Amino acid sequence: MNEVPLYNDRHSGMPGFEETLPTPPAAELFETDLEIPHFSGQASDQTAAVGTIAAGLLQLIGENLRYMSEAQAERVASMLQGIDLKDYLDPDFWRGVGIVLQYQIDEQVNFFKRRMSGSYTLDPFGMDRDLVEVARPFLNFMYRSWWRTTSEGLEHVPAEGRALLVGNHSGVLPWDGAMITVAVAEDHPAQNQRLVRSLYLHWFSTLPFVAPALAALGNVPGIPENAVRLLERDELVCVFPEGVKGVGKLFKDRYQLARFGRGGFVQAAIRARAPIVPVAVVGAEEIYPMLANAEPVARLFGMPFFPITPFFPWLGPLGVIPLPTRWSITFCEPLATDRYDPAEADNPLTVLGLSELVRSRIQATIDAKLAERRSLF
Amino acid sequence: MTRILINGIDGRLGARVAELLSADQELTVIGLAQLRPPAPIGRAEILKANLNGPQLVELLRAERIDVVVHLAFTGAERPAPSYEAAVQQNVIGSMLLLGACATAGVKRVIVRSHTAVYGAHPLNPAFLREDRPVMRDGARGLIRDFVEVEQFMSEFGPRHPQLSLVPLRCAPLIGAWSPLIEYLTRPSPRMLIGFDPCVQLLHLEDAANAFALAARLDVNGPINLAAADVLCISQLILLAGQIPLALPEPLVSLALVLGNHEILGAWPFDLSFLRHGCLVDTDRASALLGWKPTYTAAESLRLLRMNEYAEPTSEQADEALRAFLSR
Repeated sequence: MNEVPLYNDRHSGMPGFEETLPTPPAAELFETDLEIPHFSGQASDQTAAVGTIAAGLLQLIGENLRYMSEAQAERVASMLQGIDLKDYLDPDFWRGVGIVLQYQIDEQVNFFKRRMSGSYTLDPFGMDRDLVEVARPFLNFMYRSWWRTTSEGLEHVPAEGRALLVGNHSGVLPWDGAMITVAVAEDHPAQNQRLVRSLYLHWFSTLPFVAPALAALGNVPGIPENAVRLLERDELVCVFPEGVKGVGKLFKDRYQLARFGRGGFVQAAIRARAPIVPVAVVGAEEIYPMLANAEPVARLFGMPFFPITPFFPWLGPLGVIPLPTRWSITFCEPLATDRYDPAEADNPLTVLGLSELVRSRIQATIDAKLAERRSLF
Repeated sequence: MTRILINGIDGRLGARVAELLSADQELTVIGLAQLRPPAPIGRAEILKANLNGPQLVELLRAERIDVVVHLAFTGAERPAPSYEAAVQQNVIGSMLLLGACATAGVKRVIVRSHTAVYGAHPLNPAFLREDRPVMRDGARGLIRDFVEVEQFMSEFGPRHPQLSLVPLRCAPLIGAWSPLIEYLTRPSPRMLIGFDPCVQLLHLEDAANAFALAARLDVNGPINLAAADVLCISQLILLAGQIPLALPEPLVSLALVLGNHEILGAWPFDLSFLRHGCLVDTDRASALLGWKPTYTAAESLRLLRMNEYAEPTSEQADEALRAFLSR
């Protein structure tokens, strides 16, 4: 729509749209947020506190500037002309921040107007790029600050083309899927912000609010046809074959992989000739220590399980806040599936054998990571 | 020389199909209608009558018809006078026509159908292929008629192998009056709180193209038709220039149980379509017909808002008349 040209660059199209973004003025602003924490460490306490806030502000602004189009970046740069962003004690610094925040408010208003006119595009699976961008800072915060996640082996995730990521599922709410997505988007060596499409239990699509939110953020109901179709579109797909048995695992069973379904994920990978990348997530199993499963309550509400943790349901909504454990996500070497004939997808021996191989590889990686881990937090 | 009969040339879709087919000098196009066509119909000759079964057989035999395009569904392009009248024409009328086609030795029948015949369900894959069985129950109104006709065809087809049945399952049409347009033009189109499934649309022009292609090509079996993009319902309503009204599902269910269908406004489908999606895969249309949609759903709605679908003017009617007289 012509009325809001500001957004044309930011949201046009699929992966790769970020390539045009880093423009010189935005990049300059970026540098400053690296410098400020650096010298605030040496200054007195009081100045350091101001420095931290300033750094935080710059970080927030930097996040947003990354998605500016060239024209937008030029506009902000011209507003900031003559203001030295290197010195946060200078009143001009704060004036600069004010200008940028003003720009941000304008942007939010435009964003809202555009949403209200319906002029945005969905991908065929209902993913809404705008909302993915809205959720990104929060998920990045959970990834970096809340769970202080370290990711290894990201080079095993192809920078382009299809692949099926297979992870261990845990933690009551599917935070693990979201964090795998952040790891690939933010820490992948190719830095091309690939979006992982997680498959979720189709039961969730019967829930109000949950269903549209999952779809808008790029998740897809876990139905075999969907997995094959996504892979054939050369997407990165993430599945948790343990399903409900994984997320609804009791605390005492943590890090013991449950049954891997019926190998449907292997069938999808063979049909689409996509490599399987086993993923081991350590840390997620303790975010909601589930002491018991109140099955009668679950049945009453038609839920797959009803968790009883030290905090839930006793603390109400506060009980939904996950514990800030330290996470590690390990991406293992891919298993090629193109040596199988697609007809092998219907051979239970091949399918279940490969499924078991993936499962044992994830279990072995988890065991190794657990042995290395020194502290839960 | 293929001879084509279009049943229901008195709708916008039928008229446009006739016009497209008229461009091919190899074809003879005859239209069967109950009303005057609302738009130019090219070289097509028109018979205005409400024929019964034996009369249909007589017409098909006498005119040596090879292909029938069946578009006459009450309620699809203008509001249905009554439920009984709609079932009479849509279900009984289609059965009679198919029976007549089999008796008269017609080679192929292209039948208008709807993508909603698959039903909206949380277990639907993101895109349904034609081999998905049509829903057994739960449909109402026009969709129920389409489902019944599809079910009749799935039994009738195998027993008449010499007759190719081609249901073209169209996403909701944008381009003339349609039940969905009615929903979108009434104030506050309804939604369910917390649900926003995706929908597909189809521009009338693209639909007409597909019918014209299917009438000329030797195809068999159902084919899905939809525009290339998907919209969620809230977006659909906003793009149509309306503000959605979201209602809590228990309230809606209660009202429906009490027989108050007005609570959903003019929503043309079952309640489940406000909760879950029913999107179709159109690969078969591009493989068999070489069909590609030219309008996106968003574009069709933009055209709708620009009011490009005003009723045809008298100049157009005059043009149609001249064209008919000079045929």
